[in-house]
Amino acid sequence: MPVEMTYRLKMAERSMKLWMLFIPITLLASIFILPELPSSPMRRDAFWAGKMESDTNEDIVFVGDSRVYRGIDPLVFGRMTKLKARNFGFSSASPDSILIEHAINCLSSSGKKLVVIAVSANSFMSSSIENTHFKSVKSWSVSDKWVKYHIYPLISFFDNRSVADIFKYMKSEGYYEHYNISNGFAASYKIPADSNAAVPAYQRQFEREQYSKDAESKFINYVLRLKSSGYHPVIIRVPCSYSMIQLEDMATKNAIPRLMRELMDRGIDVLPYVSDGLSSYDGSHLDEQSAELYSQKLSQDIGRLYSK
Amino acid sequence: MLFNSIPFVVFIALFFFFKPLFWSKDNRRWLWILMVSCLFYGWWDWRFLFLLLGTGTVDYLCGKYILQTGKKKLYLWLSISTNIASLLIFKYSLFIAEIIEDALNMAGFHFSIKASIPEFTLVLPVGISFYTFNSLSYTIDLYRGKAKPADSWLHFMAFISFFPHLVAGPIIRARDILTQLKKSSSPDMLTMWNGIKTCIWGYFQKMVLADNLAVFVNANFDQVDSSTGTLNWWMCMLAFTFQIYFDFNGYSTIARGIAKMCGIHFKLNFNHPYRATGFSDFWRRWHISLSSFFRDYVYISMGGSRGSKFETEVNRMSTMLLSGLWHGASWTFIFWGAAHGALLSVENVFKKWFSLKFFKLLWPVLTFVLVVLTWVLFRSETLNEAIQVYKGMLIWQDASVKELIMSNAFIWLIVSALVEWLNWRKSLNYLSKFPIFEALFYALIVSITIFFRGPEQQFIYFQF
Repeated sequence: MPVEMTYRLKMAERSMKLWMLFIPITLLASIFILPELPSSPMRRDAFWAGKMESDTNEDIVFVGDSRVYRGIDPLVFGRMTKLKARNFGFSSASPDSILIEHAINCLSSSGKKLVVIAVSANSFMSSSIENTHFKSVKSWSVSDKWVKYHIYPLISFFDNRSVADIFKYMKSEGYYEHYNISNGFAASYKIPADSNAAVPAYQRQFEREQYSKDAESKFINYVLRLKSSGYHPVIIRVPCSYSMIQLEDMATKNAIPRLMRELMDRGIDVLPYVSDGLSSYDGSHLDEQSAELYSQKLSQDIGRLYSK
Repeated sequence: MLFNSIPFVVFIALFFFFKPLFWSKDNRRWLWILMVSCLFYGWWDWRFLFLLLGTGTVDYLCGKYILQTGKKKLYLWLSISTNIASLLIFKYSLFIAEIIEDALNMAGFHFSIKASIPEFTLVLPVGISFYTFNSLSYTIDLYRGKAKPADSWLHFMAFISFFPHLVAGPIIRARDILTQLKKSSSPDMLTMWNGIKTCIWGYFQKMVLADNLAVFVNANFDQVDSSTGTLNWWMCMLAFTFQIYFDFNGYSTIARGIAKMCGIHFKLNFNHPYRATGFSDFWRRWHISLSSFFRDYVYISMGGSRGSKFETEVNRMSTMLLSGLWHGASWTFIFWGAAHGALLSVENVFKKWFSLKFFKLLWPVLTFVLVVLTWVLFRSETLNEAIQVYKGMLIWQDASVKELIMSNAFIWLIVSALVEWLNWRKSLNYLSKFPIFEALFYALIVSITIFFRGPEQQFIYFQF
């Protein structure tokens, strides 16, 4: 073998051995050096995969959009009512039959079968009634869901970081979420908080899309059917900022208050909209503390219904 | 199975762990390659293994009969039509039905052909465009006397299904690979280390550069109606320009790396395409295995540049249209192919001008800009969407420059440009003289890949 080749082989062998030595060192150093961002992508995946787990021992399920999974904490419910609760909020979700059926499959057959459904103007807009996010999570393969739910939380220190997010985090800026994988609640906040931040985007959406009366009437029929088949549906509207509520009601000509009244007239439990003392970090979602307060208030109201 | 997934990590670890048991014995090696490749492919959908094995078997038999019987042409056409038929059924049936339906509607006949297409044909088998072309090149080369036949069905199927190239290329030729697969020796330490380095580099391109850029590109294309700002759209298309390159080159590089670790050499599939000095040069550097396939088996078969100037241009345009159609059953791909065909013709017709110093400097820049513009057709799902993006790029609208510069995509766009346009090879070769620095450099790249990877995305070329 030529001398040059022997030399290169030796160098390659040495490089490879050193590389194997350096790999754990650089990985450990990275874990220590890089800031752990609160919105962990791996925990986020585990969080969504967790919503697909089919336990069947819940007393109460919450169904709705991002306002639900960011605004209602089942842990608070458990603490205050001793009920086992789970949150089935999905991004831009519409409370259609597929989503509600997915949630009620987790209810214990011996309980009161409480199904708390959140309605918002956004949930009956054409882009939401597609339920894209829920469907995409549902379409994950069984092995994918298993890996995400069981493995990702264990290796979330290998989470990917966005360079821009690290800069924002160092400057204390950005949107953050802490995921509770077992119950489907995400405590969220935004720095700096701005109760009008999401309003322009919603305004654009209302200009572009139509409120679907068809989806609304399907929803009413489904809720009535749900009640007649032994479930106990409760309709709520999760609080958001004053400007957001005004925008939603104006853009949809008071569709949600009208819908809630109609359901109440037809014998469905409807909790009144209350936002006193609660604050939203972007106009649409409750911050962590307000979510806790709102969950307490909701658990008192629902506790009363449960004891009926 | 995706190269960038946890199941693949387990798969490849087991593959190399058990490899010594099978690699040294001839028949065991071929069987091992076929078995693990079937597992790799079947992980996605095992039912389509039958298609892979079925078309492969037809091509193997056709190859055999081409050499053994006097009816060479008959068996060549049988092989070609089998492969084209499987592409037509699984890739183009819906598109063809749409065209026929639209034509009938225009003529006043209203009925749905799409509804009567069998459901199984609506699923595109992963990698069908790649393995049919691998298979076709074998029979055509045998017919032309440019390749030796595979020793057995097992050898042929191992070549077709060899997992590193199976689902997204590079498109390999039997004459290049079969002889390499026959060698039982394991690669030396230098080749192993080069293979590892190649894989690391490929993963970095795919998981860090392409996947981070994809977030920005997808966000804009998901909301074409509401995404605004001329600078925003230019940045989006620049991001896609690098995304598609690093996505595909990342895959090809990982495939080359894994093959290298098995002692197999795959030819380079990309050679810094955005450093091209013109469109002909671009196509010599972009997806080289596909370009050379179309050159050797389509363009030259049609007559190439042997006829008149007009015939040459017709051949060129036809080849580019087919190349566009190969990428996907959609008008956007056909228009993309046509645009490149037209630009190649313009370059060829006016090549005297391009020898002038002014054009020598200007044309590479203009080529890059025009390539970026043609990617709009490639990325858009419909022609209407493409028109909206072109409007966004060409009709001035304000956008927040600060927001664009502060975005993650901008950072990775700069890194992508540096990776593509700086000459790293010399520095990396120099680095290999100092094992400690080289090892540290590649360990750092692994850490960067793990901690700064973008959200997991499927490889773009899987859909082709």
